[in-house]
Amino acid sequence: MQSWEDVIHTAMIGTDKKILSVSQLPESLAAVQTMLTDKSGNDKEILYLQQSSLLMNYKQCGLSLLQKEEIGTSMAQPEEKPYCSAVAAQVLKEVLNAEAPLLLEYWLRRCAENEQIFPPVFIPALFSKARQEKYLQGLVVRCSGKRGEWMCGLNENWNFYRGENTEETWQTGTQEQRRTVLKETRRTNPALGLTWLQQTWATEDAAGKLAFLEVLKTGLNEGDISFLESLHTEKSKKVKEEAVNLLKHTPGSSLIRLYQQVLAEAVQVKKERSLMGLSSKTVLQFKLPSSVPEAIFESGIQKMSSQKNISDDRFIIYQLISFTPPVFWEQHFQLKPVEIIDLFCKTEEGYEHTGAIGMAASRFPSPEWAALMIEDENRLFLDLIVQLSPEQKEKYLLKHFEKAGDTLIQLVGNTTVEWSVSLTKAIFKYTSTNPNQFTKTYYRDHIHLIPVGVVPELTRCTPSESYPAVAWGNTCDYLRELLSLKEQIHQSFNS
Amino acid sequence: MTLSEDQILALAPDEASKKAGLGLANMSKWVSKGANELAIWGECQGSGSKPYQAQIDLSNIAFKCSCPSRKFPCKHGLALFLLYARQTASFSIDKAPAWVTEWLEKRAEKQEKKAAKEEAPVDEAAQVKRQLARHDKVMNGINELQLWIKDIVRNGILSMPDKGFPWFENVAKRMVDAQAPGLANMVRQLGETNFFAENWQQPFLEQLLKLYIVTEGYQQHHSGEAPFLQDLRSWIGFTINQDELKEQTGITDTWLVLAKQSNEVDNVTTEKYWLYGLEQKKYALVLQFTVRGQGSQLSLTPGLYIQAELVFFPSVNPMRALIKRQLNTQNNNIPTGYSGWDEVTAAQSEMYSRFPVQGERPFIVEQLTAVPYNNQWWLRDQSSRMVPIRNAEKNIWHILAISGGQPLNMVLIGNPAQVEVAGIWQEHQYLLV
Repeated sequence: MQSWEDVIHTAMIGTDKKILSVSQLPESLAAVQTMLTDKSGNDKEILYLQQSSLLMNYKQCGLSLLQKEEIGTSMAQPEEKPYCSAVAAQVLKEVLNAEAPLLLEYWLRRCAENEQIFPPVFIPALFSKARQEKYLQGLVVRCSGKRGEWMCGLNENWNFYRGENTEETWQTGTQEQRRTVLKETRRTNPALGLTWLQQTWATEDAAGKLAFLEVLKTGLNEGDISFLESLHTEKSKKVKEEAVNLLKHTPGSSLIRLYQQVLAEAVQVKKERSLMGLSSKTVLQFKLPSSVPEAIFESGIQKMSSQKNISDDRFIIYQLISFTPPVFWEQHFQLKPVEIIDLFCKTEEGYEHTGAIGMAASRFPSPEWAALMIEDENRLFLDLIVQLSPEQKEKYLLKHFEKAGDTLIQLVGNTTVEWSVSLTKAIFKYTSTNPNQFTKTYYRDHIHLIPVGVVPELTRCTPSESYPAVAWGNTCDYLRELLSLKEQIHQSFNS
Repeated sequence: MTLSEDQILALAPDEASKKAGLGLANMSKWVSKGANELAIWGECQGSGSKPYQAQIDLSNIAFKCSCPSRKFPCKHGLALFLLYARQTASFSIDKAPAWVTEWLEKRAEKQEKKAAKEEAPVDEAAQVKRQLARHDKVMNGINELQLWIKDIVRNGILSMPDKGFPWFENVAKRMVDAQAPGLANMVRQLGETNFFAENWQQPFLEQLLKLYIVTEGYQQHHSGEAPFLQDLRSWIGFTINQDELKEQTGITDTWLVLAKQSNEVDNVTTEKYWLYGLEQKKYALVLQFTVRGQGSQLSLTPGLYIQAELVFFPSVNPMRALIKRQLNTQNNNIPTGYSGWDEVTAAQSEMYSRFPVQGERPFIVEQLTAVPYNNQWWLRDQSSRMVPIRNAEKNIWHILAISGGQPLNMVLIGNPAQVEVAGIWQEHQYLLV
């Protein structure tokens, strides 16, 4: 409306400099205009205020609204999966109120397993949560159904990776989405993941190359060797280092073959006479060859020992053993793993090197070697736990919890399988004595691992000292609340 | 009475109470609980030896609890109501215990006494004298304000963003001294214009003109019998004796509580309840002012239907009302609203033609679809007319999630130039957004 624009323009510069003329107002208001001009006398401000007031009401009484027929509006597709039950939806509401993201993940996982979706009213709250807690994104999108898919397209903040069109996501996604899709592809089809990376490698910047190389750890295999070995010409030092690091974890790489060559020469079986020459025993002799290829040190093996009581040669052999697949020793000595460990343990230096074999067994997974190494009472091979069967793992953890609680608490927190009641009790007996370190946040963040069956045992974990005992009482109330929700989740999807 | 969880939570005085109430809405926390058609009651085990006794009057929602909390309703009241909404069947339908019946009787007695309360004799001569004195003060304030407005117009509004809060506040305070609190609020709103917005000049000028219309209108018509004099007096800040108003016959209808808005300034909470009468098809605004720490008399929650007699404040466009009598009702018919924006603008134009200064108002509009256009969200009706949504980021995703792009009947607050969505109907259920 031009007249209103004129009114605003006049207001901006003031009636001292500009006045509204009758011609600037709509013709239909002419009669009233004349009346106002007559009544206001010579007061320019009064005339302006009256004219503008008149025009404002004229404008608001005849408001003309925008009419757009051509704006395309999309609609969500009908749902293909059923909604979760009303009980499950109610529990979801309570889980959201409890502000325990891992309990939310637990709910979403049950929902996804049951091929159900949550009611659309939860979409904004859950998408916002998924934006903060990225690990929830896949599940949230999966459980939001067609409505969620439609809403992802309307809000760029919710443009989550949906686990579909993986190749397209790899080509066009954000770096984070590309990392996710590469990781998933490497898990299921490592060769395809490598092909994708090789196709775009030249166009990636150094940070991207480094990020994607880190992803290549997933599904690392001999097929990756030629690509990784070709990276020695890369400009970025960090990229080159990461490539070498990956080669050090890939059996069959020229680097590991080189380590093995040196070790084959350095670790030899030797017969030693004893009992005044009447009998002999077989022991291992550790001696580095006179010349060690420089490529070994270039790959990150340290030349000098940092400890006075360990010689440089011994330190080098230790490092080489830790980067050599244990299966190498089976071929080298033509012995079984248990016989090899016996052989190593015959000398002090040999026993020292079994520590490196333990490290190698975690770098190059082998359940047989892992089970063998954890029998060493004097050492903790925490990295090997993932290779153990659930029974072996539980036994191992319970055995060492009292003396190595600090270390084991970290480890058990990183597992994905729910703890057993006895392990949970052992953990709580440890954590309840230190309420300042293990606050409610600790229990909230591990609620997915805590079994509901531990509830009757909670009071039995009460520490003897008064302050920790009071704090544990409060923690128990909180735990009961969360575990009750966990049980309700379970029941709501199983009823 | 069936209230949804969201409706019950809307009764909470603050976020902390909501959270605490949700935490206590757990069967294991309640020693006993019961309900009948008049009330809900329950005993909640707190930290003390005796459980807290919480009770809710259902006929005219009110809470009472034996806990020491100064919040109203307290977490126990909220939790009891939530638990009742979730698991009605678990409440025993026994005779109410003595502590419940006693409270209900006291409430009934109090209401009767209130109704029977006689006014103290009024000294009419003194009253007229007071009114004249106030009128003089208001007129002086208006003269001062008009000079200020004229100065702004003469010098131009371009310098307004540099004036700052004290410049406007100073004038607002002078209006308070002149016993014109309504004008003071209007001046404050003028100073609160978003000067960072691209077209701040338009809302600023509109507010300035409203101030001019009200002051000029009062100067011209204060002694006359013009029908809109009550509107002018109301905008200036004259109050009306509510007891006298209550003596008038009101409109009895089934009223749906459409929305509740509240804000707190200087420890005084103002709650606005927007209502809609199903039979009379009238909208109403009921205001409640509470000082922090004091219990409120009204406990209405959006989506609640009440059978009530409302007396409207005199106006050419009656909107503000007070509740004379209130009863519980089982009626929960879905109201019919305007069929599209043309009907809304026509109704609004009629109101403007009777009095050019209008506050916000609610309206129910049928079959609206939220659409994005020009980096903004709009509500489009069946004939493709569109009105922009104000503060869309607040609830647009909620609206879209529920609608899935389908048109819905909505409750809006604002004016046809810009609206906020307060609630929507989905499958016959009223949802707050």
